[in-house]
Amino acid sequence: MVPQAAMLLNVLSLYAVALVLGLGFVFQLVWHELPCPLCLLQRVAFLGLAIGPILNIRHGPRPSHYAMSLLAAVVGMVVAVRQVLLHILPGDPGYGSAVAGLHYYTWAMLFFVLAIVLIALALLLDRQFTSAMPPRPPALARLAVWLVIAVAAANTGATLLECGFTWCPEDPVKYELLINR
Amino acid sequence: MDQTILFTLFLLAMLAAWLGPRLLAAGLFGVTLVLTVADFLHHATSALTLSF
Repeated sequence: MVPQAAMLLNVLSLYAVALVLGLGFVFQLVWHELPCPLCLLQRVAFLGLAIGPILNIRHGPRPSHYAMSLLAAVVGMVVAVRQVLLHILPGDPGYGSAVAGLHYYTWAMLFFVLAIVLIALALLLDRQFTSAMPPRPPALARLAVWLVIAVAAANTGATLLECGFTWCPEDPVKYELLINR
Repeated sequence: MDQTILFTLFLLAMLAAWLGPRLLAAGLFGVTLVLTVADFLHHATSALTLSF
């Protein structure tokens, strides 16, 4: 039961990462809000968070895979906290729109903290590490992996359009590689 | 461009994690994470000009 529970947790975490990055992408396109460099770095950290679960599903759960996700979550949390602190003064409207009263970077900080807690809880499931080579991942797991990879590819393309071939601007107002946008 | 490279490297790490050897994925992950921290330090110390 425990290995299956760990597998389920890993699959759900991939869907969660895809959902978070997908929503950010939708808001970017619908509200025409270009992500700043720190926002993009938080998205990068979310991608890093997904590599541990992919390895767990493909090669079987290992503490080192969870450690990779843990490191990505800590980096993402530090970036998000930095951005929260940039806008913490009273009267500062923050960067971008608020969703349910909180800005993206505040949500990101909360998600990274939640990820750290969930990874620690997953590491408590010792029996997952004693099982033999994992069977072929179920269809829902394979779908989750390719969904995250697709979201990563979409973010890569969008970032290239936004930043072009120079350093990403601190306050982006247009897509560098698109005319008039 | 800096973040595009990071996205690309993590994308490659994901593909390696799913389709290739895990050591390649782990190596790509490590390199990308270090580059991410370096890029964060670059942007964290630059002036923030806001549009409002």
